[in-house]
Amino acid sequence: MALENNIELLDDYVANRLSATDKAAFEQQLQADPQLKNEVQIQQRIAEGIRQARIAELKTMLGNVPVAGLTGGQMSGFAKVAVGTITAAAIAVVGYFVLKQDESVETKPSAATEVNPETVTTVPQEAKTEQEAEVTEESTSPSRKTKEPAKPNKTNKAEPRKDEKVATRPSINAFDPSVDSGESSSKTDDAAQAVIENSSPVSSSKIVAEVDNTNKKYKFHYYLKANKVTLYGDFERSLYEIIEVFNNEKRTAFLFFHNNYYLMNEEGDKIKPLSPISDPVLIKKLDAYRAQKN
Amino acid sequence: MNEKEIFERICKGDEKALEFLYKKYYRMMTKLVITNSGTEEEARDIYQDALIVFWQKATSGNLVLTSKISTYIYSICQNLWRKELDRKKRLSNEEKDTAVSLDTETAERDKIILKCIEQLGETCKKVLMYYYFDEMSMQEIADKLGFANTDTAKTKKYKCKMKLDELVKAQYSEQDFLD
Repeated sequence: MALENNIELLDDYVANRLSATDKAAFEQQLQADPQLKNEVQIQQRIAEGIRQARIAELKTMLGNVPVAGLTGGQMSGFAKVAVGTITAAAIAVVGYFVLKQDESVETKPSAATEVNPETVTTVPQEAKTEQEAEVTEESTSPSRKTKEPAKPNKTNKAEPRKDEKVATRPSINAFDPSVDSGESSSKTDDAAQAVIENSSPVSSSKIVAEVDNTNKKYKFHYYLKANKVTLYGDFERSLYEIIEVFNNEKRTAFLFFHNNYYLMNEEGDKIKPLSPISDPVLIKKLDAYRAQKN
Repeated sequence: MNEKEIFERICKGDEKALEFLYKKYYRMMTKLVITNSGTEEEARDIYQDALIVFWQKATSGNLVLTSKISTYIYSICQNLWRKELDRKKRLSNEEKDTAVSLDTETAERDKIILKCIEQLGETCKKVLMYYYFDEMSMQEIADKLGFANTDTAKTKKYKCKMKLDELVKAQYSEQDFLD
């Protein structure tokens, strides 16, 4: 049988593109044609070489994806994430005390001393899943946790160590409650403001943030569900922070990004656009927490 | 990106979606190996291999997902790591010598083929890889590489393959390929 006639068939065979029937028929043909059989062997080696080259290419591509290692700090990006996380946690802590102070500045100026130490857990950029939770050994103390795979904050002075770091900070000393005491806390009817007015800490809460910058439909949106928020858009270019405020076990989450604050609402179970908070009183307060922190 | 979107994009050969997936499950999958007497390097290697197996099955249209993506990849990792542990165990026994000599011979031959592939242009490499490894359809190849139609993709693939055959055969006699 002329080899030329079989080139296409041979190629389809080598490339696994024949149907089961055609494949069987071709293999029968192979048995009767040693020349064809030899050519198939050669072609299979070449095809295998192409496959190996593609595997190597894909592996190189994956090897260049920044991920956080488990035992070594291979990615400088991760260290930066840790910084961002600590910043966000600190804001959450300071935020709480400022808010608390607004509410009770006259009666309980030392409210801060009643609060337990804060525990911050950092996670790499991938989101945790239930399955991951099963194989994960880390656990943190029952205080509030803030998780955020944020991008670097280069001005932050906190010293990032390695991935999977657990940092414990006592949280209270840095804050002087008197700073914000001049603020009136009930000037606005903004719903978010109302929540903030009555905020109080709740233990065992956490928000894992994940960025999806590949969705064409959602360019500046979020989806908050339980302890996970997905931010749709180009959030990885600069620092973003998740701020949690607790009010009788009800959590209110804010996003700080590019000098704007955004309220993130969990209701409705759908992806929602992010619109900046415009209430000047609320903004001023949130700004004050950040200024206080930095 | 939800599961369905990720899977659909991977089926279409979207490498960004693969990177996304890689990041997403990195800790979960590498932990499996690390907690089963593997190093982090081995863990990364196994996870990458597993993802590539998943990728190949998805792009070639040979995968119908009946579980979560993570469950599927996790099971590939488990299998690959089990195999690797078996291989290590075998190597520590007596079979070492034959295995090594066979490996060297094949590796040498593969190396020369890889060198020939490297001599091809970037588009040629891509066409052949998409065709033989990703097993994409001609339409998908045309879309990904911006060819006018499937005929152009087909012709390109044919010419590139001929070129590679020439390069490889210039390095070998036919006998070299036959065991």
